Amino acid sequence: MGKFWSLLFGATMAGCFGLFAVAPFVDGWWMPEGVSSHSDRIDFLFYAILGITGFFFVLTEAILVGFLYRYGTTADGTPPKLAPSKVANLLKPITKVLNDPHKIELAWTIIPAAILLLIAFSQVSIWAEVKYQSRYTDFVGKDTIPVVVEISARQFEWRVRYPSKSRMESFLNYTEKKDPTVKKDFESFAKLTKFDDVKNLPQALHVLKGHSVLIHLGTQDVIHSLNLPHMRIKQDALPGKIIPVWFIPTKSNTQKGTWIDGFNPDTKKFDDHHIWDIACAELCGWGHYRMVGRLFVHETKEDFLAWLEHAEKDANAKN
Amino acid sequence: MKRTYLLALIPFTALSFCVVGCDEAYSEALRYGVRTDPVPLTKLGDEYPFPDQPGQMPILSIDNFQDERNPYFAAHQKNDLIKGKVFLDPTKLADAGRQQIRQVLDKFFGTPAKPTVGGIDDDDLKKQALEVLKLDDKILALGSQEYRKHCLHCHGVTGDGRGPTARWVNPHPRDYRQGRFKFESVDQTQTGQMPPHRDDLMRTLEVGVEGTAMPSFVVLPSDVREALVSYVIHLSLRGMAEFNVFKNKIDENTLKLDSGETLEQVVKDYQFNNVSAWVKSQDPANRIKVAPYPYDDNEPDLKQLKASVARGKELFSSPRPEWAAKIGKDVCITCHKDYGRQSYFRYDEWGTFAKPNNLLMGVYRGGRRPVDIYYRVHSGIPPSTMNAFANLVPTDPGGKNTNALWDIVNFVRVLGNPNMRQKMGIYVD
Repeated sequence: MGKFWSLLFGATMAGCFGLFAVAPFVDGWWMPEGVSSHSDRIDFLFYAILGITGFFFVLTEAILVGFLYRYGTTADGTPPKLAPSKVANLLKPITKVLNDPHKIELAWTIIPAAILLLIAFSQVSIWAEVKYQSRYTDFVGKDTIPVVVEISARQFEWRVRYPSKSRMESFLNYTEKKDPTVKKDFESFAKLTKFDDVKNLPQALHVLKGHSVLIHLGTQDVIHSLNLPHMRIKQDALPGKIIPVWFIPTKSNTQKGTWIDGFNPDTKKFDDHHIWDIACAELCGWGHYRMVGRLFVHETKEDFLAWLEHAEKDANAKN
Repeated sequence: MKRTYLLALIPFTALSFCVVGCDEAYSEALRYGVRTDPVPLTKLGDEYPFPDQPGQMPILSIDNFQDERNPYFAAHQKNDLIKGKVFLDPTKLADAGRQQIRQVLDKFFGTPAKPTVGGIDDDDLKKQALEVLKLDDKILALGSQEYRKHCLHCHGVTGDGRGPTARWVNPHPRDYRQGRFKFESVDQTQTGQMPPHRDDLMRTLEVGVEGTAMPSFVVLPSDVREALVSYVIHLSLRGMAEFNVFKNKIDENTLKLDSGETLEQVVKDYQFNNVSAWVKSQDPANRIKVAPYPYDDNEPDLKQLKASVARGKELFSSPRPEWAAKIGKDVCITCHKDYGRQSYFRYDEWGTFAKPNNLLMGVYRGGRRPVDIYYRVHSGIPPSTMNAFANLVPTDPGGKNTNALWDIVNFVRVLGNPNMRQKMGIYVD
């Protein structure tokens, strides 16, 4: 085959690596801005694992390309005649210890296993905070009731149920009075649809910045998956189950009063980076690709409740 | 293989992705074509015990009637549905006739890539069609492109509700070709059978149809949705013209025109009537006049609501011979048997089947707002055989219950929520 193919292969791998290295700095090529309480820790995990696996990936591919180049057969099909390798001399300290195949195999089993165990143990606490229902109370706090909604996925849209405005207001204000009837009312939300719930709103989830959110996720037909990329949230919606999802948004993207999203709270202008999608992350049929809703994070409690009141009025229109 | 030949593969593979193209509009070469599925002339009957089977459209072609899984199989075996003039088979019309129809329809309605609404000689009506119905060519072109992306696969190229995914969806997608739509806010008690207001179609796009496969398209910008509504009206007008021709001008499998008549003039007349009907529906005077809601729902003990719900239950469930005399049906519970839990399917005007809603599920296809349910009770769902009850329930002062429509609405809304049923003392178990 000769040197040509090894060079072509090496150039392709280097090109891919180059694109990957550049990606974080090109608009739209990398992960979106993380704006939830979970995003820092999850992004840290991502980069740590990327670093470790990236190092080994580059190492093994470089060795592969090197070997392809050095030991590729010549044009007439015979093995090349080579001088002793300089690299082999450099590796003498290691090859002295790992001097038989059994020892080499032990090395390349134990070292990666140790690294994987390290990753496994270090990520448990982050996973627990996001997913373990036993950790939910720690996350939200005993004296806070989150913004609670029910999201029902169906082919091919998201439908959201909110409590009525007055009920939501009592939930948000629970911390002040700590009224046990309000706590009980909140606990009944998932299983009991009340007559005055604002039900079935399509494709839009409204939450409040700085206040925890609890989503009761269900599905009406097949398996879907709630994906809030900016919140670093992904949770499968399984038929027959109602699965809780929680997070705290740390930034808003909705203009006060008009409730239009895409609003950058820092520059006070509209831009595409602040349009936050709700996507489906589990193939659910032909419309899976376009099962996309929008996430609205309100800046203040008053604005959020004002929107909810408006939505409630709409849903109860009598003329 | 030699290295150079292998090298040539690389640019070829890369370029092959460009062949696919990213054109969003229909191909210029595509034309609508004349319908081949049976034209429903009359309803076969009233009730039918079973739904159509998955994967089956009731009527894609005459051959479907020979399939024993088809709901019309038994009836067709007994009395040929074509000879009995229940359906008309448009494929029996000779090619020359079909070509003629195609030419005229293409002339007035264009092609999918370049849709238009023509054949209106009256200048005033033309102006209204453009302004009120928003049927100018530019908006139709945008609508056609977006329709191809979002709607075509269920609703079909001609709006026949027989796209590739339609057979796997029950209830089936709407067939626009008769100009009939289920969920309207236009008063059907005046002349009956009025087309919907643009707002009704916009609302359907905005909130979807709960309980069916029609999703909400609210994430599309509103100008795209407006264009889609215009395109749907265009498809409906074209379908109506074609339907009228087949219904009225085909006799013994030939196109029969009166002496001195041309097909063009015939279609122009239909176009005039149909466009006029659509324009009339956009008139605010023809919208359903919703009586002001008379009760205070925020009373702490919900006394007024409770009384209203009790009256609504009585209106819903107790026999009313005077209604039976007028409409052949007794009261709501006649069709919504056992509050909808034991409803039979009913033949509808599209040759498919509709089931009176199971009201205990709390799923309201036409919308769940109180005013949406008011629209349904007021003007019914004519193509699905739900009657307009506005003329029947007492609504004038002097009648026993001037708020009858709102009472029925309150009862229906309470029926859908088990917790509220308990609170209101409604027991249906």
